[in-house]
Amino acid sequence: MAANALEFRTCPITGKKVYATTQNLIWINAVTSVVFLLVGGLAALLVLLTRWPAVHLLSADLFYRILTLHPIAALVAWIIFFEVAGLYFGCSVLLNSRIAAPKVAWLAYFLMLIGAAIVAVQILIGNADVMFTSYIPLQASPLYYLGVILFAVGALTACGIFFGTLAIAKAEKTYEGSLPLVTFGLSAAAIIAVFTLASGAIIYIPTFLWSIGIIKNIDPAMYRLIFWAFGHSSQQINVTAMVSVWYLLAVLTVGAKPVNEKICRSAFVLYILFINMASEHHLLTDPTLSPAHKIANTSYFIYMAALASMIHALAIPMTVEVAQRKKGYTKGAFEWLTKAPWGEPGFPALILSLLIFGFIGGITGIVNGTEQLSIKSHNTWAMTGHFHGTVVGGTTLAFMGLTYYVIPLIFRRELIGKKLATLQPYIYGIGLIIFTLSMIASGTLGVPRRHWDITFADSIIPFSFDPTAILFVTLTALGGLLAIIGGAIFVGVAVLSVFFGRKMAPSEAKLL
Amino acid sequence: MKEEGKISGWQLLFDDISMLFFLGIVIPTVFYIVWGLMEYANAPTAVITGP
Amino acid sequence: MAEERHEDFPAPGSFVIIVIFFITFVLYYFLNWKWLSMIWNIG
Repeated sequence: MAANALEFRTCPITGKKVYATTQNLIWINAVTSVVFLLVGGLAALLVLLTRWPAVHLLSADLFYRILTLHPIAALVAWIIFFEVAGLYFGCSVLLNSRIAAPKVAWLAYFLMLIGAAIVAVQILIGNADVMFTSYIPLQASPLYYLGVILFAVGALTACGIFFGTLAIAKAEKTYEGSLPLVTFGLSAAAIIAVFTLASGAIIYIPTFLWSIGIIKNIDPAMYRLIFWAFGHSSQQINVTAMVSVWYLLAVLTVGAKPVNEKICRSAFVLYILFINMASEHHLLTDPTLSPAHKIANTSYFIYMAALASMIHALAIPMTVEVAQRKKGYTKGAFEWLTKAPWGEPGFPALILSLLIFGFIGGITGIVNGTEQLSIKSHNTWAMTGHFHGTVVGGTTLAFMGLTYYVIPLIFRRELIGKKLATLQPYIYGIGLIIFTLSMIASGTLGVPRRHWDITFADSIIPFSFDPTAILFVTLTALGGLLAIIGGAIFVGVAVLSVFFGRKMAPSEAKLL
Repeated sequence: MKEEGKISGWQLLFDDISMLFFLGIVIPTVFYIVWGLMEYANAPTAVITGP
Repeated sequence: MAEERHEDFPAPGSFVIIVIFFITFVLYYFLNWKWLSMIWNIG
């Protein structure tokens, strides 16, 4: 753990300086993220096998408990630990810079770890059956809120380290010109993260005080407004970080360079300025807020961010296509794609992530966020299908693809199970396509989200869904199981490689 | 860092992370949080009537 | 006189993918408004 702050090696492929302190910080945050992915994945399996009426595994109270744990582990802990590792990579490795205040970075890590552990334990012992949203007046134990606050403070500190390192890199002139595009994208993610985490502090601190009786009442409507400034904005960090990873994967897999960096950077700036207003779409069915507030935020402002997503959606395939055409793959419209490195895990992860995020997550997101249309999807599985398309199919799959490069290039360990690693994005991605599309179809037919038993077996008033809805629920379960297998393969390959992979000599470093 | 020709205003903005930081915090705070809180604060209080 | 050719668009395949994306978007948007009209009667 203790490394000289100025000790570095030079990457033989990129020529970038990898400081030992940075490498250690990337390692610990990335490994911790995968541990939480495992926890989140196990929780996902239990939830899935309960929602599938044919199995209906857990009792009602256990179901809601595990349903609280699943997003905490998978949506918050796995992703944010990985993003912190990514931030350190983007500010230190890509800029050839030493990291600002390594000891503070380690403090940030331990705050996040202790906070996440406290939250997980509180959930598992039944002190926080409040779901991820913990809506007032549902009350969890004070320790639960304290754990969330500690995690958020740790993550905010990590963002501070990122910005501090940017300042050091600029002062010490470790790079020339503007920030590299990937670092610029990660800066956008970090700015969004500061808004997110500050909102989290603004709402979780009074909620903690309410849980210990110091504050008597918190208005539920105001809680929702500020909670979602934290809750949805945290997803926008994921979007921005994922897009940055897409650009990085395009470089790593096919040597692509952006066709027009100005347009790509403009798109990231649109994210910074406008993407956080998307939070309003959680309040579209709330009374009190005016249509003006709803429509201005979820339509006018967010469409500027949607424009940015459209720019990236064209720019990234374009960069891949231009790079492939330069290599001579110019036959027809698609030889650049058919002759791409589909046999390496990074490329299918990139393309599947792009397609799932765009076609499934993105389209449903814009439609669900339209004020009138949202009433149709609200509280149904269509909503859950949307965000599994974005976060699980988009962000997580992109991060998985990147991991297959981080392990040999940063950690300098040979991948164990390379063939499995190659199959993994396909298994995971195809599973998720079936899972999310079926889930959206189920929700469109009225299947609710966060519901223990859709057969209503214990209900006084009997109700049964159309058999088509049950068919789609079954397909959701089968697709989900396939995706979970894909996730398990990733965790296995990653953990085995990091701990037991053959240590590679510097001369052996190569792109996959 | 000036090279040949002027640096465009857009590049100056994009290179100024602190300005982007400021705008990225202020804009959503004003249009989403502050505006929303003002609407909640100005909402009439419900009066429960009847038996 | 040499003819000047316009440079071809450098990524025709990506353009096709984007057009398919837009068509999907429009279709899904239209379907959702249609379904909404079927379940939410006005007047």
